[in-house]
Amino acid sequence: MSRFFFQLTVLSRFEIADSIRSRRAAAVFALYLAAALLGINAFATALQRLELQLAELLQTGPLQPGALADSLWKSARFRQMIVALVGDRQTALSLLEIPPIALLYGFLAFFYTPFFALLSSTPRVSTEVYSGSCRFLLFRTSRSAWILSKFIGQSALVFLALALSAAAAWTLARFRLAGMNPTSAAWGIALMTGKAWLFSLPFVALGLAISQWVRSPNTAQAAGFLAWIGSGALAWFAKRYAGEGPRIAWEAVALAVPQGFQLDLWRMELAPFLHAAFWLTVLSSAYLAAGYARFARSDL
Amino acid sequence: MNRGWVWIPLVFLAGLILGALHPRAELRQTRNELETRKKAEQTPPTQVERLDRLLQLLPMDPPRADSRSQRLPASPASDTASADPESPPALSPTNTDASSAENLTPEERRAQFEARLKQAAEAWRLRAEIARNTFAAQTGLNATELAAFDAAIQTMNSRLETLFSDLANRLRQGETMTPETGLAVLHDASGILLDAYQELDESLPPTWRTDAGPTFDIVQQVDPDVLNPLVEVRDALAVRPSETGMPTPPRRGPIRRLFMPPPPSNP
Repeated sequence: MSRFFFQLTVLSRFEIADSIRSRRAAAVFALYLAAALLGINAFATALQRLELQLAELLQTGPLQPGALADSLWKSARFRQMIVALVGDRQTALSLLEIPPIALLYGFLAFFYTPFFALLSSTPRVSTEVYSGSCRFLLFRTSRSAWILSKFIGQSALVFLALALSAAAAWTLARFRLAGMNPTSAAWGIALMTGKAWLFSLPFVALGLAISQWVRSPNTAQAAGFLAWIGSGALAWFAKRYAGEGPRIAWEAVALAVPQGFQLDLWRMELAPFLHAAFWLTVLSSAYLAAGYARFARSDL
Repeated sequence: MNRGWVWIPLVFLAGLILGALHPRAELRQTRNELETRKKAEQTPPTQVERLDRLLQLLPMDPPRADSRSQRLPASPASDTASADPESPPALSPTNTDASSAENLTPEERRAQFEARLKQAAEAWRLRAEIARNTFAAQTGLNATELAAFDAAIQTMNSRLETLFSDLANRLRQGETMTPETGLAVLHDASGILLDAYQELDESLPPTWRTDAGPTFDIVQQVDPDVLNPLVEVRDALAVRPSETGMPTPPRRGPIRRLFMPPPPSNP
């Protein structure tokens, strides 16, 4: 067993180092950075325009950038609006505990991380199987250790990319929105980064599962894109149609896709967070196992 | 390495999903019910609900005709009456009655309602008789004064009956039951009750209020039959097409059953 863990550590380190050496990591980092920076910048621009208009309307002096969002966040009417918009009172009130800039970063991260995670992980196994290079490596290690190391390496890569984009988003927000409370925003963004990373784990596992089933890297990537759309659609259908009788099947669907636990992750209480974290871990293991069930028997 | 372990996460996930299905379905159902109730609270009341509210607001116990009245929160007056050992048996059906009433034909339901109404009216008459005798004993009124008391009470009841009959006729002719209508009826009804007090002041000795004691309430002398026209017209309002605007259930089929939007749960 200790040999297995030793191999796992070495292979995971190699997976990260290989990503950096091949500039694949640079591409992934650039994608995350661009998405976060463009989103935050657009928000800051829109907010500043709104503040200018508001200052004219109220005939006050120019507002400090970001002050409007903070005031709005504390307004009772705005809080009622958010509760009505989210639909779930508990989740809405949890969201309002987070600074607006961190919340925006969270929304962005929860949107693009699954897509980028699938995009980067789907070709990871199929490329090496397709080229035959995996055979040299699999002489010296087991297939399970190799697949698990791919998962750990890809997850670490997603975490690094998210951390980098979070730091960049905070720096940009600090620069553009002087009225923002930097400490609470930093904490909020860090919290959202952790949650988005947890949310990305099943998608990394799903991408690797697809990669184990499909030999062609291009087909695997296309299948990954379809899986991203498909899981989102299934989660929507499950939320819309779950009910009594035969429609209870949609409850099972909601539990089998990561998006079914997104609302729990947004909550600030520990219990729903732990519930979501547990389910996302189980889903990641199940997706990986589903892929490995085929890969373990395939002729390389 | 044994490859059987691969199935462990999948079986574990399947077990978790199966285990979570029932609690999640119940939670969803409860949430849906809560949402439906919230929406029902926000929607403007129907004519029947307005009439029910009026019946509850009136300072007297209305005989209740069907299970819908039972679902509405009971008015303080009704609570007091039901707690009173002298109060008549409630006309509102019990839960068992409500479920069995669904199996009855309209004619049977009507007959059942009329029987209950008669039973309640009898009980109320008995209660009014006891209250009148107690009042006579406490105040020591002579025969002339007692006749004046009876006349004032009879006038009050006939005025109330006229008031409610007029309203019932107007509703039958298509007038809408608006909040203003309800207020006007309440205003007139309370005016009639106050007039009865004044008539008693004029015809009885000045000490009658003190002699009767603080528990004397003119409402106890109201004949429940005066509310019959309103209770009858309530049934007519309930079956108007605009009041029964329930969505048509969609055609069923295996795919439709799976994708059919959740049905509105009954509050």
